[in-house]
Amino acid sequence: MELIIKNGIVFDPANGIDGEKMDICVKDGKIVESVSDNAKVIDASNCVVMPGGVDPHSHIAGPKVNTGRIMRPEDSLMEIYKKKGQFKSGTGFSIPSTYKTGYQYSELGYTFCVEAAMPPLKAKHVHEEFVNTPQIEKTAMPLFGNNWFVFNYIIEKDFKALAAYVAWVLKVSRGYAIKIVNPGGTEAWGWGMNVHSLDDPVPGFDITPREIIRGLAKVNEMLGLPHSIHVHPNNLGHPGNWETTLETMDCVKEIKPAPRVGNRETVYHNTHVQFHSYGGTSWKDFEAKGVEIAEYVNKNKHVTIDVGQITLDETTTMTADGPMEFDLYMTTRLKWANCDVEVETGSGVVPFIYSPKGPVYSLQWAIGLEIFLYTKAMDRIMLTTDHPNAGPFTRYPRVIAWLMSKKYRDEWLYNKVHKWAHQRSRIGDSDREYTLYEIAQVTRTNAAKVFGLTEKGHLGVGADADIAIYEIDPEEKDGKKIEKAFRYVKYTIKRGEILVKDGELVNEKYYETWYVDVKVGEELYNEVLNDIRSKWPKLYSVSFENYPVSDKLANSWKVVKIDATDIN
Amino acid sequence: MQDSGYPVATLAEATHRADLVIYWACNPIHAHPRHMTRYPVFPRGFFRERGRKDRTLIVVDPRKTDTAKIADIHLQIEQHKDYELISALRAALNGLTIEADKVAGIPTEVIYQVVDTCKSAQYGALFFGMGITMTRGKHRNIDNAIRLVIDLNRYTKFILTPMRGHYNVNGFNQVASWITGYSYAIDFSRGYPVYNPGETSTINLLKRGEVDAMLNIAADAGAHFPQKAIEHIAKIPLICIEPHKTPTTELANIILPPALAGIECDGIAYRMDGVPIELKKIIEPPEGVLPDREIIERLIKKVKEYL
Ligand SMILES: [Zn+2]
Repeated sequence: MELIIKNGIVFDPANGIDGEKMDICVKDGKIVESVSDNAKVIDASNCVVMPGGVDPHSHIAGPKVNTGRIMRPEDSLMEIYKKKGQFKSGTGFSIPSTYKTGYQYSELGYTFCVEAAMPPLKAKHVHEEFVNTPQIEKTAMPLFGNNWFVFNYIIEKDFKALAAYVAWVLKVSRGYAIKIVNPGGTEAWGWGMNVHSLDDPVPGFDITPREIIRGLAKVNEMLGLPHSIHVHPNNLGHPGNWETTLETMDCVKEIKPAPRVGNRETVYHNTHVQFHSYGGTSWKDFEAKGVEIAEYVNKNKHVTIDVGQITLDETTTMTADGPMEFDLYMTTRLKWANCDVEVETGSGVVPFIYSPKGPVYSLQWAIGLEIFLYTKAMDRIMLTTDHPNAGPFTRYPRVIAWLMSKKYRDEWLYNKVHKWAHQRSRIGDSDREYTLYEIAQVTRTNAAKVFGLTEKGHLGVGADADIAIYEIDPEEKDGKKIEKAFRYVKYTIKRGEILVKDGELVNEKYYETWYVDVKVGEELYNEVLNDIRSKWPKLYSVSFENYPVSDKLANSWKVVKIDATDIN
Repeated sequence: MQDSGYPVATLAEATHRADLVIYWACNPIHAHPRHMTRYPVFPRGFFRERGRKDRTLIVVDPRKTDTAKIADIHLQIEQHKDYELISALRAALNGLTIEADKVAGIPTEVIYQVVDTCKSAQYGALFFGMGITMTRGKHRNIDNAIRLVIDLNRYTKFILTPMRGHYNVNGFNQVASWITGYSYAIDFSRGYPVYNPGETSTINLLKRGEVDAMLNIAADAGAHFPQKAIEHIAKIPLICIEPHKTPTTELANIILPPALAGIECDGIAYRMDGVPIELKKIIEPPEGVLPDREIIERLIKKVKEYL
């Protein structure tokens, strides 16, 4: 099967291609140098061609997301997809059902998505939902930042054992990267408490958040994982947290990146950094510190960020940060779901209405944009809404419009949102408008690189033929037009097959679930496995044998194999 | 849950942390015989090294059940007064004065004592039985209990767990939710999922006589549905996918016995705390007996042939 995409204006930052008119050739699902005359022609004149979008952080599947669905039938009424031919019906605006999730990602031109938080004990649930999520490849990040085994190996300073344990969990839960959420704080929430700084002791354990983050960062590089540690630091959402954020970023500064797969150059990813860029001491003197965070990122090459842009919608918040969700509930008094997971983690789910009239919400919105507009390190920033926490992923096109058009952004800033947004932030001072090259960087190139997805996020020969074609003039400044062009693609092509055409789904396909299988030295592995197994019955309410995710729980697996047998 | 939320934890959390365990309207010694010995009461936990000795056990039950007999505190509540007692506990917790001498048969001073016990616990676990959902007040009882647990979290850590009896009801709710956005009572007749309990739930549809055929999978409508709904079931064709003889199969026109999950075929069940458990196949099913998944796949295939 051959394809040629003709006359499109191509943006492919990984290969330095900045708006060149050129043809893209596809054969057997891959990008190739040239094709025969039999190739099917796709006319991309007056269109922009980019690699398929890669989402580095989105909550699309698993126990938290489904708790949100069960708890919020009202969200289902806000957006409905009817059954249409081969395409299934679905509901949900902020927490869409699984088929709808896949369909909507492909309508946006996205082809790969990272589920942001997987409790290993409930990994089967995440993977079962993945099986019913079409159109995209996906992977999930298991939670490690409040895990008792992790704590104990770090306390004993046995980093080899920790490496073997992490390798084992990644393999049996079929996970991809080390996710850390409010390190130590979620464990403290087991007692209704929290930790508030990097050096607060974790109740019941002789350990601090700093030690947890550093220990896992070190082991991440020993194992040479494709992605760096992926961190949601302490104090999310609290005024004054920006100092904790900078301290956290700084605490792993001297650790050297050593991926055994891919070409990541960073050791720390700070997710939804908008929620971590708050000044002031309370909501009364709340102020923006997005510029300060952006400046740190500009200067420090070991860090990548995704923004977690507030979209000012009614949404559903969900994180493994149990105490934060309870605090949030106390401000809304709407509904609160919580599920603490033995030995490993916790979670909370709270509906939330980010009204544009709210002073705090408007400033949160401005802080996200501050981070986008003041970051110059364009290869280390990514666009997310921490779906659905700050807003649903279907709002990415609107975020893109705010970034590309000063006029559109100012319309919101001065006419739609509360005045705190311009009084207490510096977005009004910025005339910056993102180019399409920069949009491509923040929506595909950078995420593919930091996750070590060497065949994703670019259009070079040998890459997977995951391609998005948008009908938009590169000079377009009309916010509504930009939004529309990115909301409904002209084409989404995946592995050389057309999934969406003229904004309409034309094909339903199921793709791989990715996970990492790292091999450490056999003797070490067996030693650690024996240790885990001996402690197991006293810790878990399921049997050791029932813990692993079996082969059946994917449409197909993509296994990233890593040889780390030098750890022994 | 859709009104207030759902503060829960996986089963071993209570084993490791709970120093206060409350069984409300359930008698686990008989109904869930392994619950107390495996999870929140007797075993030693990570932070509860002495097991039972480290915990206070409260039982709320109108009868002197075997579980109540081993409790440290037995609140012998009057029948059907769950809502009143929960409200009184909430009132006491929120600093209000209760003027009556007794609420639901429990002396007011005991109510204050219990609230103090709850507030001073490090970790409380409330398990409530189906009793509470069947008595007068029905789901409002649960809602109020959830509110009580949420209120208690302002002072200490408290979680709640429903003691569901039926196997893998949660599994159905989970799958239905990720596929449609709704956990039960889903009407597809408009080409998209519609959920309006009271209108689209099975019992209501049957009672109104709107159903002209019924496919019943592993549920026992015959034993649990109201008389009027059962009367309608008797009038319409009923197909049961069910391995056992039940009151429902007595009414069936066709019975398709499936293989037994966890014995004759594999599958995943969702425990009441949301932990998915993989069920393994141990022996071959009798010849010609298919897993329910396959029966349904074949039915769908056949239906599609007629479309
Ligand atoms: Zn997140």
